[in-house]
Amino acid sequence: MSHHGAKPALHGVMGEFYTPQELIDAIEEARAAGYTKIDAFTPYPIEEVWEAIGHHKSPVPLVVLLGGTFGGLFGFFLQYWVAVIEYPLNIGGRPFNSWPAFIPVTFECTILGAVLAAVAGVFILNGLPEPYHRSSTWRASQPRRANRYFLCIEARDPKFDRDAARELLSKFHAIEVSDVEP
Amino acid sequence: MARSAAHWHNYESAYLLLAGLATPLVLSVHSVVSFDFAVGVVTRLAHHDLSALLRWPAPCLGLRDGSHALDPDAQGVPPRRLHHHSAPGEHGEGDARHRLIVTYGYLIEIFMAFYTGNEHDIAMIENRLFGRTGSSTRCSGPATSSSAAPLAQAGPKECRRAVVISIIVNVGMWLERFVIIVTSLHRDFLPSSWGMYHGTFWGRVDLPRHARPVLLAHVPLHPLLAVDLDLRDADDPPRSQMDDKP
Repeated sequence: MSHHGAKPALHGVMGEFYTPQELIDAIEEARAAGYTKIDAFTPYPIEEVWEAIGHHKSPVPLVVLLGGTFGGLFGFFLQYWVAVIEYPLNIGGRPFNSWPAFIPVTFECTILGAVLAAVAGVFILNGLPEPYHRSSTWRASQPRRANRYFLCIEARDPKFDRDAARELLSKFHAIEVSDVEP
Repeated sequence: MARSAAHWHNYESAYLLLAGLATPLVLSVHSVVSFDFAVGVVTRLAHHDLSALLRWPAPCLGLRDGSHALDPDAQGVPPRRLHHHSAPGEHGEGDARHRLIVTYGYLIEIFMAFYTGNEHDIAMIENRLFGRTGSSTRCSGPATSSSAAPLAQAGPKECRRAVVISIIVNVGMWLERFVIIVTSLHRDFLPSSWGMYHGTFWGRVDLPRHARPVLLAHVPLHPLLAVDLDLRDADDPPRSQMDDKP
């Protein structure tokens, strides 16, 4: 999306590569040339690609930690509330807050919270479901390209220049360099 | 559909964390259950539960075998065979040894009850073997034990044999879970709560689902993404690179 007010003419320039290595080379070159708004599209996860783009830390582990912590606290205090506050029962003279007995449920709730947070976190952080995205929709409109590797240099990049970007992508044996309409 | 690098990064983090959470969960089932017996507030800690803490191999290895057997049964063999990839028989001998340890666990449980002469243990064993869940117990033990020898002999390419054995093991494991759960619940503290569990319609539908390898042979539900990554790890060029390079 352009920040210049006028109707954006272009979403970006998309280069198409046969191999992951060509894609990674192109990413490194683009980063060296000062581009910051770039994104790569691959048919399966490739760690080197997101490392090259500069995504060093995913927020997912933090989300999972928070989910697990919340789940554990919730599980423990739910039992505490039931056994001590809401419905205290004297069972063989044992204390109401017999916390060791709460541990198995607390453990299971920790895992449940963490797992739900992991799955929900991926969907929310990735903005899924995403019925329309310029790059994905553009790719889907291209026949027989499910197994290629793509690099998009986006027009919102402050350094964006259509011809320079096209030239950069062409250097790394790009099969094809295309304009992506907004 | 290809995804943006950031999407894949989040996906991979979650994938790794889910695997990390699932592994201790599976391995700790027995510890958690025995812990539950030991610290439960309700007075259900019978002598049997205490001694059950000591008989760790049977349930622990049984669980492992059950989950391992699920792999060829549920997802592994047909798709991998489809892709000429490794087969589950490669772990056959190790699996067979575990199966023998489980058999030993079953036998020692019966032996210890009579050796100690504990009336509760003897009653429990008799109830399991000849009570209302007796037929399940008498099926589950042999189903688990008898699969050891044919599994040890199954070569890495003998997918069909591995699938058949894994189905037998899974049915045995299913029956064992049934016995464990039902025998501990069908006689509650109050005789008025006593009763028996019977399979429902959907429960009966559930067992034939073990026929799904037949379906999987024709419809690979194993994510092709994972197959692609397996092939990459196997030093084969990924299909995406081989397809239509000029």
